[in-house]
This record gives sequence, structure tokens and C-alpha cells, in this order.
Amino acid sequence: MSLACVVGLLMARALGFAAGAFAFWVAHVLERAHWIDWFHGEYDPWFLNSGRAILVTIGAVAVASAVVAALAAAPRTATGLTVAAGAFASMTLVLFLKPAGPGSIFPIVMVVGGVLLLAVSLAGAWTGVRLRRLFRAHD
Amino acid sequence: MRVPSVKRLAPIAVAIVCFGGAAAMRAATVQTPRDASTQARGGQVQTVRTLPPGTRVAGDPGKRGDTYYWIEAQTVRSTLRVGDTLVVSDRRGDGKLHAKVTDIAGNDRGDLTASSTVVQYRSAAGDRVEAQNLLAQNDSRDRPTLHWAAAQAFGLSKDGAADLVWDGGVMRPRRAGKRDLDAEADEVETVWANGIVARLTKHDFPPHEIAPGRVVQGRAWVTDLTANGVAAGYSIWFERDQVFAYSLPGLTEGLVWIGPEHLRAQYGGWPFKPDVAWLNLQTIAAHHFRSLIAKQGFVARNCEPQKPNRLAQFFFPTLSANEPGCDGLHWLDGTMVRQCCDDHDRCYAKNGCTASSWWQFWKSWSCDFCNMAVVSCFAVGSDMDPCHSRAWWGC
Repeated sequence: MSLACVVGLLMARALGFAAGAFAFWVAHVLERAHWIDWFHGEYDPWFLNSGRAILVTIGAVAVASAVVAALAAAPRTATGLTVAAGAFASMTLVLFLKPAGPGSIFPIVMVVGGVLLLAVSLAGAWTGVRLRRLFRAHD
Repeated sequence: MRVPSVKRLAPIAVAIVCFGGAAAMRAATVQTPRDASTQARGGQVQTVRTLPPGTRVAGDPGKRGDTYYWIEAQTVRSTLRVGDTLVVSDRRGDGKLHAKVTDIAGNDRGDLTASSTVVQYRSAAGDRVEAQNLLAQNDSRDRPTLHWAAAQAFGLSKDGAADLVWDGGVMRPRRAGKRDLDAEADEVETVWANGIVARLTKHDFPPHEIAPGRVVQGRAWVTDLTANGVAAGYSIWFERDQVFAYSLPGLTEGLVWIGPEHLRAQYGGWPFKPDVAWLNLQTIAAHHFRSLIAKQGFVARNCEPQKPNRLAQFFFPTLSANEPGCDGLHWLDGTMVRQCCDDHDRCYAKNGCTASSWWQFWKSWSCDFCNMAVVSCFAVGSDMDPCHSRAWWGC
């Protein structure tokens, strides 16, 4: 039982944060690699510069959030907050470290990106919780 | 009940995350069969280094920018006078640069023809020397300009054309020292398109105040500009103080000046060594672009960037940090917020703001207003064109 608590705590906090950060980073790596051919990207590779890249990024973060929420000891939609925090931290790092720099309206970019990531993280967590309940109902 | 569920789902989740990471890394480093076959053939081709659109590629600040060469390419003729030697260089129908060296009485001292690949020089026979012919590969590695051709012809006529080496893009005899043509030149005349002529001479000035609290003095290069024979303005470069100033009556209000203090924050001072040809071309460019603005009003709705940015755009536009549209939010470029971003860009350009203006809010109220305006524009979609608030911006 204590092991379950530890696992649950990790899943709810650190792991959720790491999962969000990792999901955003994986999506960004993919976008960088195929910026021209897959994403038809103009300007520098950055998820808010291309509609397809936005879909890939929010998809990755939503899946990560759903998985983390589904595996949490106490499945709650609020688990998505930690995932969103991780994705937001990763997004901020990428924004400031990308070759073109953060740009002249970066605070607005961070707000737009942050709101987007928060929304999809919560939506993903909500979906994960529902899936978890579905599994439990079948147990 | 919970623990078995976690145990059941955890391996699946770990597998998904690991697979996703591995797939992304593989996609980033994938090698196509064609790449592999090329490497197998000995790798004799070089991969094209593509740049994502919008990537800022900073050129060598010491080199002139594309705008400089665009202006220079429209120079019809350049005349350099050093003591009693005249060098007249021009562009001809064959696309090559020609420079003819004479003395003040018009006696032939040599001539040079240069293309991007070959330099040909013929020295005239003098009292004690025989005529020499030189045909050399052009390894200067710089774009040939009329001033370069004149400097090259002058150097060869004075120092000879034997046992030559390339030094800083110019040929000189191995045993001769490198010439400082900016110090030696007494006069440079640049005849440009549309009847514009810039003529540079050198003068010594006593200390005087060019702007409140800014004193300049000493040796200065002065360029007088004429348009179809009528005086159109002047510019001046103070060697010791590193101050550039110009006045174009009817196009500028009073004297516009740029000193190293304006460039220190962004470039650490003058990012290149001004030379006599540059002063003439800079003056011509200022007149040309300001005339266009006056006629068409096409540059940023008459809101002009601050002095350092104006200069930067002329010589090294690739260093410009800004992108058209919404930086970092280009997906929204096709929406109504695009206007907010463009207004913000103009506002930034006018006031010399950078991304750091967001957190260094104590440095410039103007930049703070730019930022407040764009936030307001995004929030409520209001028209925040800074040029509409002339009292605020002094457009």
C-alpha cells in the first residue's frame, strides 16, 4: 500500500511534470526534423508557427497527460496541471534556445502556448481518468 | 484494486513513451538510401545547408551588406585623387570594371581591367621603367567594386606589378608595405545614377558641439552631395571621434548624427571600419531612401527607425532580429492579430526596442508603450498603430 502511495505521488507530481516536458520535447524534435516536408513550415521550427505542428504538439501532450492520469494512484483531471507545467517549462526552454530567439512578442507567445498546453493537458487528463474508470468497470 | 491497474498499465505506458522517443530520434537522424550511396561513392558532393525560413543568419559584421553592394552597383564612375595621381574607374558594357591611372596633367600611368575571375593590369612605360603586363586570377574573395578597382590600379601603378601577393583583398608587391588609401586619398568623387554626385574632401575642424554635450574635432571627411548639379546635402565623418553626421535639406530636419554610443549596446561600436568610398555611398543611400520615403511614404508609414537601426538596415540587414508578422505565432499571420504584430514591429523599429525591452521595462517608456499596445491589441483587437498617436511617438 505504501508502495502504491509512493508510486501515486510520483505519478501525480514529478512524473507528470517530466511526462509533459518530454512529450513537448519529442514533438519539437519531430517538428525540427520534418519542418519543411511534413509541416510545410515557414520561419523557424516552432509549434505555433504551423497548424500541423500545433496538432502534433497538443496531440503528444494530450496523450502524455491521458497516460499519466490513467496510471495515477488517485486519478483526477487536475493531474493535467502537472503535465501542463512540464510542457510549459519545456516550451519556454525551446522558445528561448531556438536559433531565431524568442521573438519580439514572446510573452504573448508564452501565454498563448501556455493556455493551449493547459487546455489539452486537462482534456487529456480528463480522458485518461475516464479510460481508467472504464478499465476498472471491466475488472 | 488500484495497484493491479497501475501494474497493468505501467508497462504499456513506458513502452509507448520509449517507442515515441525512439521514433522521434530516428526521424531526426534518418539516412536515406541515396545519402548512403553517395557516401559509398566517396562523398564527393557537399550537402546543401538549407535554412529554415525566418532563420536569422548574421553575416560577418565587418563585411558590407547586400544593400551596400546594391547601391554600389549603380555607381557610374568613381574618381580618386591621391596627390598628383588620378584614378578613374567605371563599369563598361562587358560587365568588367576598368580603372585608368593618370597624372594630374593627363599622362597615362596604367590601367586595370577586373572581372570576378581575372585581373589584368598594364603599366605605362615611364622615364625609368618598361611597360609591364599582368594577368592574374582574381583571388580577392571580395565582391569587386569601383573603389576596389581604383585602389588596386593605384597600388600597382605606384609599387609595381612584380612578385605580387594578396593582402586584405588587394594585390601588392611582397616587399612593399600595405597602403592605407583612406589616409592617402585627398578626394573621392562618386557619380551615381539619376544625376547624383558625391564628392569627398578632407578638412580639419576645431572643437565644436555637434549636438548638446557632444563635441567633435580634428580631421574629418566631408562629402558634398549634388543632384543634377544642385546642392542636395552633405555628410561628415570625424576620424578621431568616430562620429558620422549628415544633413539633407528638405529630407531631414537639421543634422542627423550617429556616434559609437548609439551602436555600443547592439554592436559594441562601429562594426566595420568606415572608408572613403563608404562615406560617399552612405550619403547617396541616405538621400535615395529618404527621397523615396518622401515621395511614396512606403517605409513603415513614415515612422522611421532610430538612427542606429537605420544604419544597420543599410549595411547589415541580416542582423535584423525581427520577422514580418507575428514572431513565434506565425500560424496567426493570416488572422486579424497580424495587424497588431506589424504595428508592434514598427513601434519597435522606431524606438530601437528588442525582446529584452519586455523585462528591462525601466529602460524605455516608448518600448513599454509598444508592449502595452500589442497586449491591448491582442486582448481587444483595437487599432494601436503607433503612427496614429503622433504626439506620443513624435513620428
